[in-house]
Amino acid sequence: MVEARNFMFLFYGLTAAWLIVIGYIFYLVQRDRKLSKELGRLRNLVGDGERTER
Amino acid sequence: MNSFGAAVAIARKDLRSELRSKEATNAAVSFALVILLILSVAFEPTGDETHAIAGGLLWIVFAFSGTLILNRTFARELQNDALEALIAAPIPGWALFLGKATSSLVMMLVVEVVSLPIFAIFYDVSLVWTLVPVLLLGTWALVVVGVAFSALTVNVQLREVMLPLLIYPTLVPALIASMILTGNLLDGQAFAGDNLTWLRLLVGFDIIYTALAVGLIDIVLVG
Amino acid sequence: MREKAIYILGLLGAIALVANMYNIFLVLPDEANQGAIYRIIFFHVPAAIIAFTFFFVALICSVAFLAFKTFKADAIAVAATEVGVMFATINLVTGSIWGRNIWGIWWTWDYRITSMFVCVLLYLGYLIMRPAITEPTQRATLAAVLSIFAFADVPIVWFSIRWWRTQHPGPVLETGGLPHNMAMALLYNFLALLAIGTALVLVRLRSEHVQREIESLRRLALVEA
Repeated sequence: MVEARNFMFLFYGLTAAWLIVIGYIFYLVQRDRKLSKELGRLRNLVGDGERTER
Repeated sequence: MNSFGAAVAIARKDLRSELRSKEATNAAVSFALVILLILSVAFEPTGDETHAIAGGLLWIVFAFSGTLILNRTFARELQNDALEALIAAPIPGWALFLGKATSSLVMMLVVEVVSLPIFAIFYDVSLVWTLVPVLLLGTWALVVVGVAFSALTVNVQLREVMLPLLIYPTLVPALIASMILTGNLLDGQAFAGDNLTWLRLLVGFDIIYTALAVGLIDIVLVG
Repeated sequence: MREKAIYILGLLGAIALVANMYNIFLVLPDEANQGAIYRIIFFHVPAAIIAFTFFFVALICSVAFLAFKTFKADAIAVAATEVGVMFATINLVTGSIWGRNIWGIWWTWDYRITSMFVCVLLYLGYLIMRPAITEPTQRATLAAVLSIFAFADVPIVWFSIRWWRTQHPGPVLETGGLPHNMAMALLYNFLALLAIGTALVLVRLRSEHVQREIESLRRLALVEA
C-alpha cells in the first residue's frame, strides 16, 4: 500500500533528522571532553610554574 | 597625493610588477587552457548539447583560473612587510581596495581576452559584441569578492584553499547570471526580457558587494 | 545559572516535542496526495526557519563584536552559526528524503533546497575558516566580516536561484497552504525545536568559553616558560 511505503520514508526522514541532532550532540560532548582535559593540563602546567617561581 | 591618485598608483604598481614578471597571468592563462582542454574531454565540444552549455563552461574557466590571480592580490605584498607598509600608508582603505581591484580586473580581462578566441575555436561559437558588458560586470563581481576575501585570508593558514572555498558560494548569484546571460547572448539573443532581469541582478550584485567590500576593507586589513 | 537554563530549555523542548509527536502522528489525518510522508514538513520547515534565525543572530553578534569588541558576542556568533548549520542540514536531508519519496529522485533542484544548500556552503566556509586563524582577536574580526558577507548573500542567492529555477522548472516540493490544525502543529513544533536549538547554542557557548580560557592559559604558559 502506498501509505505503508510512505510511512517507511517518513521513518527514514525523521531518523535522519534525529541522527544529525544526536551526531551534533556527540560532537559537542567530545569537544567538551577534549577541551576539559587540555584545560586541566594547562592549569597544572601554569600552577607548577607559579610554584617553582616562589 | 589624493585618495583617488593613491588608488591609481597602487593599480599601476601592481600592473607594472605583473608586467615584468607575468607570474600570475601566465599561470592563469595556462590554467584556463588546461581547463578548456579537460572540459572538451568531458563534453563533446561540437555537439549540440555542449553548445547549449557553452556559456556555463566559459565562466567555469574564468572562475577557476581567476583564483590564481586573486590569490596573488594581497599575497604578493607579504614579502618584505610590504603589506604592513601599505596599511600604514596614509591612504584610505577604499583607495587601496579599488587600486587592487582594478589591477586584478585588468589581469583577469587579459586572461579572458586570450582564452575567448581559443574557446570560440574549440567550441565552435561565434563571439558577439554584446558579450562585453557581461564580461565586464561578471569579472568585476569575481574581482570584488575575490580581492575582498583575498585580504580576509592573507594571513590565514591554507590561504590558497580557503579562498576558493569562500568565494565560490558567495559568487553563486553572479555566476548564475553571467553564465545564463553568456549562453543566451552566444545564442544570438539580445538584451531584452529575461536577459534584462539577469543583467539587473548582475549589476545589483556588483553594487552591493562593492559597497560591502569598500565599507569593510579597513576592518579586514587593520582589525 | 547557565547550566540551569540549558537543562530547563532542553527539558521543555523535549516535552513539547513529545507532545507534538503525539499530535503529528496520531491525531492529524493523512494528506490526500502525499500520504504520510507530508508529516515530515513539521520538522523540515521549522528547521529552515530556525537555521536562518540563528544565522541572523550570528549577524547581529558579528556586528556587535565589530562595534564593541566584546568577545562574548563573537562566541555567540560561532555557536549560533554552528547550530544553524546543523538545522540547515536537517532541512536539506529531510527535504531530499521527501523528494525521493514523492518524485523518485534524491535531489530535485527545487529553488528552496538549492538556495539552502548554497547557504550551508557559505556558513561552512565560516566554520572552516575560524580554526585557521590562531590569534583570537583577528579570528573574531575576520569571522565577523565573513558573517556579514554571508548574510548579505542569503537574499541574493534565494532570489537568483528562484529566478533560475523559474526558467528551468522542475519538480517542486509543495508546502502550500495549511489547514489550521496543521499550521498550529507547525508552530508548536517550531517552538519546541527552537527551545532545543537554543539549549544547544548555550552548550556550545560554554565550550567556547573553555576554549578561550585555554588560549589565555597557553599565552600565560608561554610567558612563564
